Amino acid sequence: MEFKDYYDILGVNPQADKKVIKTAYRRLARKYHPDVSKETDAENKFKEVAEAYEVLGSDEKRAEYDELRKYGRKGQPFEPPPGWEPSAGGHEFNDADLSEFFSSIFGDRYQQSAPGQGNNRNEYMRSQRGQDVEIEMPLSLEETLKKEPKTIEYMLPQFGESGRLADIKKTLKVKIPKGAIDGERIRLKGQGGPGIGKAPPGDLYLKIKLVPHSLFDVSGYDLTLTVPIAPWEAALGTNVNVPTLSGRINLTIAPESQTGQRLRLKGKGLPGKSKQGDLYVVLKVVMPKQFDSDSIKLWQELASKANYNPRSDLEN
Amino acid sequence: MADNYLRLSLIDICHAVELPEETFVELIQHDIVKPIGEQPTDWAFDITMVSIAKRAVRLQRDLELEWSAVALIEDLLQQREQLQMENESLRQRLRRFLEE
Repeated sequence: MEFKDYYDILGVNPQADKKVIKTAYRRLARKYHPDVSKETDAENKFKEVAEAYEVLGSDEKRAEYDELRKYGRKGQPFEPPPGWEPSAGGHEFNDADLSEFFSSIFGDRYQQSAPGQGNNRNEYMRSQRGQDVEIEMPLSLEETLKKEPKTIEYMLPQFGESGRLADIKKTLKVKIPKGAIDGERIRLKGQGGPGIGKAPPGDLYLKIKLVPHSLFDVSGYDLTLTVPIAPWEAALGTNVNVPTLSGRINLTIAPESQTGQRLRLKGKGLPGKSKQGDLYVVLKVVMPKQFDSDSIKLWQELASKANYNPRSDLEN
Repeated sequence: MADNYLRLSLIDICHAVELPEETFVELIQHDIVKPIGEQPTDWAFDITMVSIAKRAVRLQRDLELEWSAVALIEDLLQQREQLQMENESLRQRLRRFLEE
């Protein structure tokens, strides 16, 4: 176990008063809070900062820590001195987030133990609802339309025979609700972490993450399909056969169409909760990669006869 | 097969968020959590509100904030998430246009 220098973590000197410590914590908490921070490894950095403040923000814990600090140096292995009794003082922090170093000094608020084998220190902790677990569930567009349930696998901590928590693989079949969209969550009651004592397990939240599709882009319940067309098809109009999520359809492209022009196919998007989304076809005029000599002659003829300047806006 | 739960009652959501009802109602009063239904007796909550409420509680506790400040942060975070999604979607569409 490595010694942690909480003063160093908060960037304050060991003589700093409570105000300075609080300000340092607030500054670092804003910087690393995992709900707002974009810093790399923000979650672990925040845990360190919060743990340091948990100790240095309390007169009692700080005094205990200062006493121990005489025996330890940052980054070096550390063992509490012989005869050191971890204090049973409660803390408000989630035990799962605390380091081994912290627990060796201040004790565990409770030890994670098998149901019915909890220690006697705290009645409250002998019976505690399991943790909610949130996992991301990648989902293809096609899967959002299926009626059959999707099988998911995930790792979940469970109490083993020894009474210790260990990750085991769980498999569940989940019905994807109609109108499920990116970022939405599905709650599976009682499928989260195990409860302690007689308390129920937590819930499992599946956060839907739509996997980018090779053809369709998603915006809410609407889809966009980019359809390439040849310049002469754009000029003269044509019929094209395009894919939709429910099969291929024929589409008429009007003469004199432009790149970027959108055609709306009503109801061909994703099924919404109250109404069906639309499919937007966006035209993209593309040039052939190579021309044969006959084509070049035709383009030359067009160039000599067409009276069109596409850069007129740039000339004044 | 596990059941899907898309909406929660007030009691259920307080349980899921591990907050007493009085505190949870404060989140509603600050417009951090938005119930479906006008009267408290009709309230139901989309499960998205569970993660919003949990995040609000973490922010309030860890950054030692007033609920009104949490409400402002929540608004800005949701706007940021929305803009990131829009940005990603527009980038994806642009890539289809620019690349062969």
